[in-house]
Amino acid sequence: MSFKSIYGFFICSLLLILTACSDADKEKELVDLFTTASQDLIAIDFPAGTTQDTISINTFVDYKIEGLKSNGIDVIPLNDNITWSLSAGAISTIDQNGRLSSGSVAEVVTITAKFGILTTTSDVFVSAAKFDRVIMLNSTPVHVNMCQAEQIEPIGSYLNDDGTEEIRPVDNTIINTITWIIRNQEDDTPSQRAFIKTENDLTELQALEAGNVIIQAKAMSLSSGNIVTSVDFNQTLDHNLNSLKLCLRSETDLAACSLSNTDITENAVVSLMAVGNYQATDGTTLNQNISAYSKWGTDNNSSSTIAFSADRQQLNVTGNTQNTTTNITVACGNIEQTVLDSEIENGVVLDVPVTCASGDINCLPSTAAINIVDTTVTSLDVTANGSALVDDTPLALSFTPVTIILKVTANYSDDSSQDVTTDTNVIYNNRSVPIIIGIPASPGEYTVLTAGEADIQIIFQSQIFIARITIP
Amino acid sequence: MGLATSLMDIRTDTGSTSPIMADISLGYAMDAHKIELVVMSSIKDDNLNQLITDIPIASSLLYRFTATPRNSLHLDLILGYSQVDIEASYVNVPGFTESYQGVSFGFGLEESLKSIPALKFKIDFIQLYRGDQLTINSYNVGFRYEF
Repeated sequence: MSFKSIYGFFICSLLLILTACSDADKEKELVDLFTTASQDLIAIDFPAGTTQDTISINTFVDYKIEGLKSNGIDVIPLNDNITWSLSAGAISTIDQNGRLSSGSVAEVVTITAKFGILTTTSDVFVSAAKFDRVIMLNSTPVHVNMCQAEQIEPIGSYLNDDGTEEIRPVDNTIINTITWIIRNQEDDTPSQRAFIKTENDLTELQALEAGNVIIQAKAMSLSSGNIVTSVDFNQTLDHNLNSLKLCLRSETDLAACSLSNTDITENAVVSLMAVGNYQATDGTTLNQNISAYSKWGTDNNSSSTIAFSADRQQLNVTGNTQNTTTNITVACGNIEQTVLDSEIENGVVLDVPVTCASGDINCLPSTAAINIVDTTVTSLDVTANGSALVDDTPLALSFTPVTIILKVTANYSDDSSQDVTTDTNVIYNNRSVPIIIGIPASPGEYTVLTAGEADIQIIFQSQIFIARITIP
Repeated sequence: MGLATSLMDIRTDTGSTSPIMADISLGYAMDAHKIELVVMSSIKDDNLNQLITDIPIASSLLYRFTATPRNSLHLDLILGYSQVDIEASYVNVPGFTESYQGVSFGFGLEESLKSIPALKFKIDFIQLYRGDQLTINSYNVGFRYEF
């Protein structure tokens, strides 16, 4: 090996070593500034109501933090780049996902979350008191309407060895072990009006009907070693449901959507949702997807197959047999059909129609026909006064017309097309009433009232076209 | 002797800023070898949301080896050592100043102007500092006059 190559090797090695040396300590503060600035934050904190003053030994709590943006108003959740730590000497531990695992002895720990240059802390007392029983369904009264769900945080009684009592939320290690008993208040019979479900350590009260129920919590008392059942918790399941309708799951405007029938081909799937219109206490109304807690049925389970999606936010209808029709029914409340307890837990989907008893105000139904056809509409072409429209894209007119006349052409899966403007199954939703108004008995024809943007939603067999026309 | 404009890139895993600097260099060239001292001064700071960063001054001692001496377009391999001073300010936080030193390396392209062969147009990319969590790069465009 020559002197030159040894010399070159030495220089390169030296430079590589120098490259590897960096001012790590000096970098930290600048890097922290960048981390904080990347999210544009000025402060971080634990979200309100997410921290607990006291938790039990040998349990765990997942902590999250949120950041306050520099505008002082917006708050965002933070999931990454958080450094979690506990006060020195803590027996409990915390991982870098924010999960505090409490130790086996009582202690006070301070949890510190650091995001860039920002930090926040929370003190927690790890208590050796043992869970005895659930004493409250939730720290505050629970208000829930039929076919809705509310998260609850059961409160438990914890007993120390000296007999002193602590009242606090039930730990994550206990919450999953509680058996909930629900009875009808008027006759004390087992109730299907509600269901309590705990998933991922979160508990929610699902209301399936209106009425009054009695709820009890049964669990193993770590204090006594016995199974203990709580006192009765009286709970009202409110009504406040004005109406129920069916819509395509793809609809985003829950106020305007509607569905009376649609076509699908064999083996195709259409997804439906049940939309409930609720009355709020402030006099306003609210539209909500209540598919999960509604009860579904079909009058022809050979024509099509129905099933909930995994998250129960939609009902999937699969066409089985061409040239047949399935009537999908949905109801919120006390239906006439018998429902199994397992269906109350997993979602009610029956192979018969669901019906409400005549005059029963605690049951609201809706229905839609699904036609299994050999061809289906793949798209809609729409013109306004002869000019082609692009879906959900405004067409600016150069002059103000007296009327707007739409022409709707349906394109089918077999490559055929058909003018369906006057087809009774075409739904025209005029969402711009002060601008244009429909001409009676003339589908797709409108009288222009004033300047502005006309907005008409056209629905035909699960195809949706938004016609927008800017009128000068 | 050289004059150039530098776009600096202060980069971390979570964000970056790009202050602009003017640099002046003085050096000595012999055949394919050049050694130069570069001093850079701030023209414009840059911000990432509420974080304002600036490099008031940076300096480098660089060795440049021309890998293609016979071509009109010279490719230079650059190796040296740099010091970069960074100032940063953030809302509700006291001002921050720190100096970073480290080995620098990069490459450059240079071509003589046909009308004035001693005047060369150059483009350089140099990684001035490479740390565990922080990298400082410079992208330079300018001229070099060889006496």
